[in-house]
Amino acid sequence: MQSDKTQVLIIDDSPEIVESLTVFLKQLDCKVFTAKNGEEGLALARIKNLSLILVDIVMPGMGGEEVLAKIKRIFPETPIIMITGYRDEDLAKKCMEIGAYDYITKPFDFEYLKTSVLSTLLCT
Amino acid sequence: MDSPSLSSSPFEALQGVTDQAQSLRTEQIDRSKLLYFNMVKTFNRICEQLDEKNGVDCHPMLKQIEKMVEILKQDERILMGLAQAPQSYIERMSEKISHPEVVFYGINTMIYALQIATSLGFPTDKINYLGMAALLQNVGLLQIKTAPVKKKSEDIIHHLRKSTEHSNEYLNLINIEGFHRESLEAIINIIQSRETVLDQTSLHDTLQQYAMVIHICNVFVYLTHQRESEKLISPTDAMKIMRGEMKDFFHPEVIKLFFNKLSIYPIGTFVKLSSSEIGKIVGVNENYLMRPIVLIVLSPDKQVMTSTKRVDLRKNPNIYIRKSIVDDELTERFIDYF
Repeated sequence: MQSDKTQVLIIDDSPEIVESLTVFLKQLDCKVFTAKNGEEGLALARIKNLSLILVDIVMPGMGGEEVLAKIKRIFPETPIIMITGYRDEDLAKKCMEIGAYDYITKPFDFEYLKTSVLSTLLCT
Repeated sequence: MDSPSLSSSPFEALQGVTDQAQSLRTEQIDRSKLLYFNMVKTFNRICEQLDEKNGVDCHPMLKQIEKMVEILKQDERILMGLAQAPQSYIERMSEKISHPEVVFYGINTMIYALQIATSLGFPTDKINYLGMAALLQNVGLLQIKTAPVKKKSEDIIHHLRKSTEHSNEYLNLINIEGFHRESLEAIINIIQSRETVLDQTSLHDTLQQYAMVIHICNVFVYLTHQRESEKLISPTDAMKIMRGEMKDFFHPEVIKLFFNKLSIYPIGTFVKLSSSEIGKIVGVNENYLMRPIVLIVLSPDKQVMTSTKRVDLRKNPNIYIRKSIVDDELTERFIDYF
């Protein structure tokens, strides 16, 4: 039977971040998929009916910016929140120009993250 | 509108344009405020008449709704800001409101409903029905003299439904020339009928659509305007409540529509940014609800800004909204800022 839970994908190479985000999203009643790199994330994005994708900007191999651009080409309506541990204003602006829904720096302000996640679910 | 003179210097030409813009801006502020305060007075007196069970002509109200639609189409910002203003300020600028739940909440609900309807391109000849229904939906609460404002969301819904038992007896006292009162009554009765509002199959029916829009605006106003609660509810908190514990009361598509059109940081509300500055929301970036345009009003050390500073959060992604602020003093102090 198809689940009617909101499906969210996390693409991040850090197991600790994936773990904390997974716990957080499950508390919001989301069904969570995870990928540890861009290639794996893209493959999952193609087969899952996702309501939201969280993408780490700095990852080995395909970077978050490239993942964002590729997913936006295939699924322009899917909101993507970029997450990063580095404050890089130019990169942040570029991600927003490509079409990122939001840009969130680590360590997470979970109250803000909750508002952002819930607001994306209003758009889909 | 005349262009600046070609013979004037670039500075003079620019000054001319700035003065024109300033004058238009002032005119827009005055027009919006005058309409809002007049509406409060008119509707307050109508409710006083209804409370005495006297027949009343609502045609002046209809004319004001038409003006409101016109203003919202041009620039909604001042009216949206006024819809957030504290009751004490509105009363000082107009008159003492006898039945705040009906008058004050009714006008603010109508502003939100009309804003959504105009942005969706509802037909002009029908939009007056939506406005009038939004205004009059709680008229049955006139009967409930000691109307308690409850903290719990379920109690709010229950309280609003009490209006149903009495609304028709007041609606029968209303006369609006050339207005199809049965349609008005039908919309109000749908709003107040739980089963029909929840009926997810009839979303495309016009009356049902109007009823759903008004119902959600009314509950939002109720949640965000309560001042008796220990913790004031910001629009963002209201979004979380309406998506959480109250989700069964609304059609999910209507919740989406509502927050997409009004945003979770509606125009006229205040926020604290990650830069510690306090700002007023003056614009939205459609489809980017977390990234509106903010006019900074207080510096991090709480000083009033001496120059205009607008931050488009979509273009400045390193700054984000730390929290919504519900502060009547701020709202009143910066009511003309946008």
